[in-house]
Amino acid sequence: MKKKLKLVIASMTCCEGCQVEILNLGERLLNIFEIFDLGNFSWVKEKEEIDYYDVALIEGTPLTDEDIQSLKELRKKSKIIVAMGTCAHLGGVQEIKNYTENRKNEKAKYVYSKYQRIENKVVVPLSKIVKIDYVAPGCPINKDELYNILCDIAIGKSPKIAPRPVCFECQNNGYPCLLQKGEPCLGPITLGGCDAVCLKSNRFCYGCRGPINAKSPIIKRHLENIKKLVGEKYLAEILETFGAEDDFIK
Amino acid sequence: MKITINHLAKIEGHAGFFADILNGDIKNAKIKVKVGARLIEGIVLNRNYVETPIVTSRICGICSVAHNLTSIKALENAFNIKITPKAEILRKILFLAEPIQSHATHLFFLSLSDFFKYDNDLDLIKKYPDLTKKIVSIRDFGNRIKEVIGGRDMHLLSTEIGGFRKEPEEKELKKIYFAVDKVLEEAIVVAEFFKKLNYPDYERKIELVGLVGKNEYSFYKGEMKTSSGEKTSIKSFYKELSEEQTNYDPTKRVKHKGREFMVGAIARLNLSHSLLNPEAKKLLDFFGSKKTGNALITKNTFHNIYAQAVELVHCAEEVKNLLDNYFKDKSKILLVKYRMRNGEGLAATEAPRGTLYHYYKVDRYGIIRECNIIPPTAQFLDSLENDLEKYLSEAEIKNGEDRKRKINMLVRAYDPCMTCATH
Repeated sequence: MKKKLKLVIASMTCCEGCQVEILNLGERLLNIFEIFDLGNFSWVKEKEEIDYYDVALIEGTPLTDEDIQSLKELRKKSKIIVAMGTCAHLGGVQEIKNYTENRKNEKAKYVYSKYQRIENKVVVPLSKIVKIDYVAPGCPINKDELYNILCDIAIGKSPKIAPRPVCFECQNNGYPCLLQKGEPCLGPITLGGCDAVCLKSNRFCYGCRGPINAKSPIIKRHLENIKKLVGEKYLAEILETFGAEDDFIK
Repeated sequence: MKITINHLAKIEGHAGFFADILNGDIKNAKIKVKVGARLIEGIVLNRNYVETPIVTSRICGICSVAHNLTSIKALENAFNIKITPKAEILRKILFLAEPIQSHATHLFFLSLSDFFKYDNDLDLIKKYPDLTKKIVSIRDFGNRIKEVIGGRDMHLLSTEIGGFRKEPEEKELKKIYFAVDKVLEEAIVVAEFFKKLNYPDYERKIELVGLVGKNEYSFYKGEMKTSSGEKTSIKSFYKELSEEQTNYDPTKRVKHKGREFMVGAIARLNLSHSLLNPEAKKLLDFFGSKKTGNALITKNTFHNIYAQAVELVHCAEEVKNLLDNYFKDKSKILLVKYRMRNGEGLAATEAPRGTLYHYYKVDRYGIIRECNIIPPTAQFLDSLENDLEKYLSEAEIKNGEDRKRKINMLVRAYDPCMTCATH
């Protein structure tokens, strides 16, 4: 039998929800434990010293020196890194602080009396620090999509996410179009693969999976339209919610 | 001499344990949280209130329902909104789904291995395949409820200030209703399994605090109660809390009138066990027959684990009760209209790990001007450290070989979430 691939599931600073989504795979989680040789996953085992991983799933953003150090170590040890979730991919909700003035101190001063003791780095996605091989986008990840990514990797195939907007799945599923109702939906310019889960609950798309194609003129045009609809300030807040403003407006 | 565990596995978020050994006794036990500060209270500030519950949900991936809905409730209090009774039932069901999922995770994946001295849950899965299947099924059940009512198993989408953006499909709710009996049976088997575990013999008197409902074992609404007999409103209790930043990590430790206290399943069980559903109540025989009425049933912190198992059973039973009420209510409205206004709002609920507070002040343009969030773990870290000092200084542990394992075991019994504690 072929040797099993060594897997690590690791976390920078975040809500750890993407790891919980892996647990939420239910019976398929047990399949993952069969298909892969589980190196480290702190929800399931004590820490083990391991030199090499075939696959590293990493969630969160590096907010401390220790985060950055462990990210760099994981890069050295791992053949493939999958950035898991919006934090790792784009920055996540914590990146909101980047978009405010005096970000270094104002926010920390509000939360902490001894704010000088707090590590208060500019929030960046993993790709600003190390090379990333694949992305499982979304806040949280779509666990079905992640499972497919892992299966592809296990059989030596490069995982790919179809370059279709959220609108594609929204229409397929027959959900009412919120854009037509005058809501500032980012569905047309956001990478699909989430099964339009927000639209299912009658909530417009905030773009947590990032732009479908950052260079496309459609993005600029759509954002102009949304700006006319809700104004510049609120558009900025929508884009900032998941730390994706700098990804949509390059 | 010092004891150091740099990385405590099987807790949510990163933390280490550090202590000194003086004449065999453990002193200065410290849990140092190693999660970065995301400054959540800072980042929602000066922004529109509409996105606040979306952002605060992301404080924690394992109790996102509690953060999302407590945030929503606090904002509703600020705007003086009364949701419909039907919407309230759905919220209460969501508040059961989360402990079902969270407790099942903690009981099996995070805590159980300690009792068998396994380093890896895969050994546990191999040894107890039937129990594994039941845990998976129970977790799936909790998640399914969140999907059907909340739109997703995490970071809910249909929940909104004023109620719900979308009505859950009746057909799917019925499926949940008919699945309860099987899940309840599974939960009882799990609880019976946890009843037979060998819990360390240990006691310390700690003030226990929790939200207590009028006629129900409450997660969503109620008044504050303490084990020393105080009963007070959420507002006045919140005013008596103080938060202090440590010198060594990004958490703030919370005290009530300057003193340590404990929250979570063990606190709720001690304060409200007379309100448990019938099957859950049967499981109290674990504590002996003498402990009835309103007396405390346990002072052993390790029993927090068993208390979660009892709650698992209670929650499964309660899902059915609440769905019965939901189906009886034929009214249609799930989202009430409201007028935004300036004001302040506070809400407290019981998250799986204990009482959770969200407070906001909103100006007349709907901009958040103040925000404070007090999660359960920040409230019990002091107690955890004090428990560690006492427990590790007891004779049989002091000289025992697997002291490190005992440290891990006690830490995990608390089920701390460092991600919440820092936020």
